[in-house]
Amino acid sequence: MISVSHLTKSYGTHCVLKDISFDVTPGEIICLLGASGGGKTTLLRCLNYLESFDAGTVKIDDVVLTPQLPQEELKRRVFEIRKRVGMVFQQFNLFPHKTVLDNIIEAPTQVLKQNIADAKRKALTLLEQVGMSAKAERYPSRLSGGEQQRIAIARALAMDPELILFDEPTSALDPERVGEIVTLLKNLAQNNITMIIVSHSIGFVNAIADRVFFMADGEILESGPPSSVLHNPSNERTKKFMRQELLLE
Amino acid sequence: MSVNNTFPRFIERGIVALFCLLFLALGTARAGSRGTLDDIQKRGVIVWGGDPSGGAPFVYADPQNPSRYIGFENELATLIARELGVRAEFHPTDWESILPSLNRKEFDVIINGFEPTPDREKEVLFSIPYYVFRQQLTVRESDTEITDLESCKDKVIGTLANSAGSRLLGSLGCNVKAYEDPPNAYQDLALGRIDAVMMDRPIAVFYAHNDPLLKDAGLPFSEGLYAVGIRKGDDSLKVLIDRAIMKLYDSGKLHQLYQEWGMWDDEQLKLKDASALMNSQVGLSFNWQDGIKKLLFAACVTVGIAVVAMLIAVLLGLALGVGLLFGGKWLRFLISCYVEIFRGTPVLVQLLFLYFGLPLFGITMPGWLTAIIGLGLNYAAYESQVYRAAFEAIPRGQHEAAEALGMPRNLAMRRVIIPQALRIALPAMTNDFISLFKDTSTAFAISVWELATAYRELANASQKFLMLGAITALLYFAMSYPLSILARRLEKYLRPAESH
Repeated sequence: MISVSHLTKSYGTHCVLKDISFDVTPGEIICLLGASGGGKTTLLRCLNYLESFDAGTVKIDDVVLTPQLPQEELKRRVFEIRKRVGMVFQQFNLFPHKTVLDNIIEAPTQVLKQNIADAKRKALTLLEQVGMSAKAERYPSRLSGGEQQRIAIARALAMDPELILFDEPTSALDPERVGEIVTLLKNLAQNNITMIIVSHSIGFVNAIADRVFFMADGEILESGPPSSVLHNPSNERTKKFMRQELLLE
Repeated sequence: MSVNNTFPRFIERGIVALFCLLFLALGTARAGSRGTLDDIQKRGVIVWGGDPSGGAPFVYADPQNPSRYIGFENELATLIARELGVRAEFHPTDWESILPSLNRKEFDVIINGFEPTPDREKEVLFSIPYYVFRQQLTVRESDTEITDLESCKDKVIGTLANSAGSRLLGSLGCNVKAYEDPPNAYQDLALGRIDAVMMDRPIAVFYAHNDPLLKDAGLPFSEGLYAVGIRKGDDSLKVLIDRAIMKLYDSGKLHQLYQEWGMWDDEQLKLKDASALMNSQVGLSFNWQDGIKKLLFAACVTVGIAVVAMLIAVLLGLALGVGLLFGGKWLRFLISCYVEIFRGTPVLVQLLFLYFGLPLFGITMPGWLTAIIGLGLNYAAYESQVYRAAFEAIPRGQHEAAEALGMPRNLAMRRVIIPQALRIALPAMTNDFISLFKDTSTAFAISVWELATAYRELANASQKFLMLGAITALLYFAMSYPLSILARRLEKYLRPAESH
């Protein structure tokens, strides 16, 4: 249901995404792995058009995004996509001037025009799901990193997305918290939510991914289940990366 | 306990020492010392004080040779000096503070259309009078309504600040606008900002008779006297000056002088019995209750100007800020020019330009409106920077989070960005507002009766500088402190619980 075809993006003469194509089946957990500058975050952000791209298409369900579209139409489709695609950021990006509960109901009530009472009820359920029920009336500045990340996930879930994009979800967390996030994501996966996760942490990827895309220099060099890409890579650069990471781990 | 203890204490001691030095310096400072009669005779020079700006025909800069002073009092001073056997030297000073300047010994005597009043007689000595003047009303050429003082009841009359005229009008309860410089009053009359001008006849004759746009209204009325102002204690000097004036009158030199300046009339014959004339004068003195009421009224004017000007500043500043953030290259360039010009020049200069310069282009606004617009335009420049900076301080991630949740630009701005930007901008905005309150005092330069102007005039009229000064400071404080408190409360309300 997610299909990326010949995606290309350049900054001037520097090409950051080179003819990327892949498909994702619903409910899959895909991890984009690689060194910094490899293009994984850029690719992720193209999927909900936080970054524009120069050529190719992104197809989510029946909505197709391509740069050749006229501005108005492109805008309309981007909005459509963003209602179905949630995003969780490395720096959480919770709204500091709103309580946790208000953070979660903001988009459902303002964008989807849901009834406030219904939205609140749903929000409390989600908070339970992520283990943060006690913090509903707190402000984000009072929460730890791990707690904020879970709220951010709840906020994304509130829109009932089919796909959630994660941009380095564990990079800003203590190692102890990473395990909690892994458990949480595994639970979410059971609800058949597709997830595409950018990470440079092999341990995390190993624990959570159905499929791994190893990226370098704007290309997907190797893809497959963790068992092959992480433990038995065929590509030279992948081998090099894994060797380095495993030595550092 | 730690090293930190000694550092602040050193600074504390330093500041205390600095203050002590300052008070010491102020206490012993004197703006130069002038002597009594003995000093004058030793020097061979009598220094007399007067205000040359707008000072015709008393003493003023010669239009054909601006480094030279001329005027009937200039010549009178020379005549009196000759009688005393010394030379006369002119010391230019400011009319508003001429009396305190005399007491500070900046010059020996005042010769500047100085009228004896009971209030002034408490502070200085007066010689016998050397001229009998009357008030003269001046109106626009086209005016047919005003023929005398009675018909001015509901009109705005301009007059010289702290003069016989201002006191007379004040006691009659007329709508008065006080001016520092007579030519400004006649200018405003011609421009239509006021309805009439009432000043000592010599001034009216000099400034209005040559202007085709103005004419006399009615005959001169209400007598007054000019006398030389002398410091208390200089009685011997007074005796000599009185004798000099009598001699000048008897010898006909006074008559000749006034004839030359077109100032002689039959009233001057009264000077023959000058001392009797002095006692018969009933001057009008300062009223405390009235003074406080005037200060309060002026405080209200200040509040009014500040509030409306701030409103303009916020709205315009917002527009400019938005332009700077989202506008095209040219728009941003134009706005930047605006900001640099208004931030880079003093508010006072901007107000003067708007008030005196715009009429040349056909736009004449009353003083209070000029003050509001001028201050508004000026502070808008500062506000635009505050809003721009506040907006730019919001992390990119906030925009992205809102976008990723499907919020259109407008919604994201309204719900996420602007509320956060507001919290950041608020401290700077309240700072600017408090600053604006105090900057309303620059409106004194364009004859607006706000608090600083009121203080100056009342203090000079009553000589109660400290008392009135304390009250004025209190009033300013009473206006800005509640703002501070309100601002702090607002910030607290808007800011959620602190992070750990």
